[in-house]
Amino acid sequence: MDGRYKHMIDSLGPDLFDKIQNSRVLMVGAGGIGCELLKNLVLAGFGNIEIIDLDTIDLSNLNRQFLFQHKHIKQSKAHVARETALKFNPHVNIKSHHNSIYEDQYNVPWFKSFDLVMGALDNLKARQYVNQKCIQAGVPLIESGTAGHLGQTSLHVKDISRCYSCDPKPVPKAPASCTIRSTPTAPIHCIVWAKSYLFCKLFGEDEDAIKEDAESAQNTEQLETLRKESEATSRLRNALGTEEFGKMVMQQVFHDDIEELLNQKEKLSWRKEPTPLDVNTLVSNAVEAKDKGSTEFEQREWTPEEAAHVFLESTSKLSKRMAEGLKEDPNFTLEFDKDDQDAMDFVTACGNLRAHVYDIEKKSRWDTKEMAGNIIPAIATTNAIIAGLVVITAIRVIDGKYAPIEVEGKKTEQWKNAYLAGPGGITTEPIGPYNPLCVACQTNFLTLRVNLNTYTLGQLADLLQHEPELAEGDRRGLGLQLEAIELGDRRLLDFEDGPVEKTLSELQTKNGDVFIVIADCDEPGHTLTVDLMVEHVDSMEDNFYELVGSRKLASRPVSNPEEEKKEEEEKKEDGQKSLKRSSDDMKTDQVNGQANGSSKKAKQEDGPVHIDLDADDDGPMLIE
Amino acid sequence: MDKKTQKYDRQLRLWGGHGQEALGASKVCLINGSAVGTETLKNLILPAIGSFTVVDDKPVSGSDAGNNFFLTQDSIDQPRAKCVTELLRELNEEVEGNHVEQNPTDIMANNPEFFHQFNLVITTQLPESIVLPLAEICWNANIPLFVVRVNGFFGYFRIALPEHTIVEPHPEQLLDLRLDCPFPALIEYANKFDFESTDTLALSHIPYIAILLRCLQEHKRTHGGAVPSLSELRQLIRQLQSKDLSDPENFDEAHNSAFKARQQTTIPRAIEQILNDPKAEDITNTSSDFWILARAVRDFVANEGNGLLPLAGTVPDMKSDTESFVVLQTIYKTKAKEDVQSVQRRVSQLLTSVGKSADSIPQGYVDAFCKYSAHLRVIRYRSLREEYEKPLGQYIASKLADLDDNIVYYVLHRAVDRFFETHKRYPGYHNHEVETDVGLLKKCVTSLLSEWQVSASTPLDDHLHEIVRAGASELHSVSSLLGGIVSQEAIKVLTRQYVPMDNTVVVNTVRSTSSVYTL
Repeated sequence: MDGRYKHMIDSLGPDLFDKIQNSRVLMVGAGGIGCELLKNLVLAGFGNIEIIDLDTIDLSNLNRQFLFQHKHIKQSKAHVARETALKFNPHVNIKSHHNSIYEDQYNVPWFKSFDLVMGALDNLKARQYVNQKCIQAGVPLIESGTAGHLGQTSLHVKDISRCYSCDPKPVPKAPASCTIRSTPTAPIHCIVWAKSYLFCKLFGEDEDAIKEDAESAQNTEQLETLRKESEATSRLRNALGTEEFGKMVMQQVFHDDIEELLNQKEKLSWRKEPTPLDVNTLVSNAVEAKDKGSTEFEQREWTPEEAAHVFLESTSKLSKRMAEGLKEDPNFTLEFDKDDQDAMDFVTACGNLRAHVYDIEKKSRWDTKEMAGNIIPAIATTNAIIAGLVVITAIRVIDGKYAPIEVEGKKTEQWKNAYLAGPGGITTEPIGPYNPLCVACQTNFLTLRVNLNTYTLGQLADLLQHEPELAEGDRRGLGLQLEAIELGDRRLLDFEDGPVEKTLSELQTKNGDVFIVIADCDEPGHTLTVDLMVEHVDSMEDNFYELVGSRKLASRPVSNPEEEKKEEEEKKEDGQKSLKRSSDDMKTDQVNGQANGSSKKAKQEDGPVHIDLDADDDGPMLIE
Repeated sequence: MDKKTQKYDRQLRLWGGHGQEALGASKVCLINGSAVGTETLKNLILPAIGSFTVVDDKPVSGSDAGNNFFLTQDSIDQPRAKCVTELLRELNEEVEGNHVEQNPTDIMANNPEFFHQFNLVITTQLPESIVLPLAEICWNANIPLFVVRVNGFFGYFRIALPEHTIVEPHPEQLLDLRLDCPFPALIEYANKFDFESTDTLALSHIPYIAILLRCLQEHKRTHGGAVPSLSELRQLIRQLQSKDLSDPENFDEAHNSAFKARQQTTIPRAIEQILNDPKAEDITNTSSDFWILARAVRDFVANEGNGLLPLAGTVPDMKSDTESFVVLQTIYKTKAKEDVQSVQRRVSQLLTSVGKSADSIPQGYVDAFCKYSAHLRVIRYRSLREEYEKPLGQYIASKLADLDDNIVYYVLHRAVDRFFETHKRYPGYHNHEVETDVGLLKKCVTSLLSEWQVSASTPLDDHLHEIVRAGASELHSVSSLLGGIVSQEAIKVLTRQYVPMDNTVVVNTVRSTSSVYTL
């Protein structure tokens, strides 16, 4: 037989191939790894594939995301990937979603409908989210990521292997906000100031920045300074769209504010005092570089006069865009985007002028883009290697060929691969058992099957409090000392307020919602919470219910504030990059959390994952 | 910014504009438009090599269309070279694509010079009776040859190239501080700091390099030029540290970096070998830029370099006030620049002496050569002829002692090749012949092992079954994975950046591992 699938059937056998054709798999992300993955899945004969990605196609994707062409720029990655892949194998079903994975419709039951989920994401937050959903749905997850010549994949199966969140992700040190605001010493400080502070102040949601400042102010003098700054900001924002805007900003931030700092009573601890810019002279000497627009211009250091020209030009463009946007919508804002020419020009020029004021090394526009945009090098070769490993692992998962690991003395399945461009090539290691304290995979999780239109919250409260002996099987109660039931930001029920006789659908809860049930616990210093997913069953009558899942509920120690703070920072930190972190390669998004409360999702290329090669050597190694 | 820089942004950050130029000037030949072949080309066309040529005289089969992304159902029975070239071209309009519908054996017989036009020749799924003569042609013309093969779940990849020189291996760090042999400007710099000062803020901003230099000089002055031991040096650092210092981070840095100060700046052995290579000795008008530079650096070391390589000129980040740090950077940079100028003078002299223009080597190359002079690499690969005629039996035997070692699949790859030469088909090609083929393949293994004088007791029965069962099938995911590795190494060879593997890669997708052997 010489059919399309000859190679697959010959090497895997007809039975396994049949399973592959009948499987349902989900791909989250259609970027660098995603394109390779989809191609491999389609050619391997995976019969039902769903793919989701919120992103649209950009020119800088085309050096590796080969399902896209120039004509597809600005179109949906998910849709175009589907169309292109179908041309090569029309016999598979592909469904594409141009949407955010956080949308309500992608709930636990939806995740449950797949045999396998493959993550090809570009940020930590989404990875942790998909990991959580896969755990709740009990679906195996294959994670992957690449950075330059390095890459990694890992397989996560609930209660068997470590989940993606079992290893706490390292928290990078971020410079203090006063370093950004007043005492920069390195180019990155100037760039973060331009991107996260000034850009937001002028074109973003200015209130956030000011509020945060007010909270960190330590004395009346600082508060006074802030008040002045806030006034200055209002004055500047009122001038948006006018001819003078650029020069006004320059005068304010590179002269007046610096003067103000120098005149403060309480001396700041800089070694060399900053020099306020002579704005009038600089503006009249501002000159357009002869090589503007060329790659050389991109990669070389600018003179202050050239930087001033770029500053005035980009500020004028951004200010006009802002003024026009405000006409339509009084809440209009601009967000920094490294692929926005004007925004990048603005940040480079500002960073340069600030570096000039503080006598710090200046970075080219090229380097600034890498630092401000958290750009990670990415090429087709590494993505091909990693996606190949993912699909080979996927075939194994569909085959059911993964057994519990960490059985002493026995050979274990290897679930984690890293590709290192070095002398070894692909290395493989067992991923290890789950972390018993993991907040993602070792929480109490139960499914409640009810008719949402008839079942009331009061009935739920009763059920949770009922002693187990009062009923049988799936209808036994949990015997909890119930305190509260929460859904997202909402507190549905507070024990002190008494029962609520509204039905769950009257309370705007939906099939697949996960309630957090909080209960009192006899063990001091411990708390007991249960993640309770509600599943709507139309045929259930009135107050009938089924409670599915392990009833062995475990309490856990109340985390101390120190750790909570760490977790909070992690949430803000949105992803990782950079091998062997040292103070000189501090990238911007870690700083983001501090310098800019409302940080946009830090974008990365084909998605970092964490590799710890030799944890007791130089500490964990991180790659995209 | 121009569109090209924008499009290639993510890769330019790996190999830079000059790497991209080298890639763009490359002509790559692929023999056989197999799945692993087109996957490899895909990863080279996307980042923009100059051109590619597919040599293949076979028509497209149904299973080709099933496992090759660059073939469709409509391609069946059409020439494979033409079909894959058409679809590969769609990946990147800047890359020129050609196809030749001929058998490589015929080309070798009628027009062996055909291969001389390429910067890299990649063969895939080609039997050894064709690979070996082709390897001779490429070797003699100094053209890199990649031999690639997928056998079911296993991949084989061999690089053959007489000599590969690398100026930019991208070392993890470029530490060249010369603390043990400071140049005058550095001593002068260290002496300017006032360690007796009462200004604690100033004290806490003295760069650790200055602290180390001061302690070293002090010890040498009081101990007849002797270098302090690590603990002596650390003690000196703490003695120098003012008690009032609330933020002694810079002194901590000095303490932690003390070992650096005691490291002797020397020329690594591997670099000495390169500098003393006969190719650096005999400079002629056919000498490559690399060897002219190697000679110039050798002469620099013997003269104005005082026995040391040109200075790298970079300084690691450290606790310091901005001004002191910038001055320190400038001191290293200036010295590095002086060294480059001395080397440049010697390069010009050498070029003139062989009748070439004094500036025929680009300044950027001279700069890079000096900056990375302690990290240069020369790889001289073993040829395929050597591998076949002088097999490394002992090495193979030592690896084979562990039957879990991937070397097993190298042996099996060679056995499959031999099987093909004998039976004119691949083992397991027909499903009903699996058991017979296992026996026949075992004979090939036995004869190979005895030729290599490897004790033949090694039972490879399970592995034999594994290979024969998969037949000569090429799983797309395996091809894609191997194609990724092959193209990654191709880019390293074509850009002369990073260090390519030497010389055989075996990929095992049953275990998801790979191994590298020098065979």
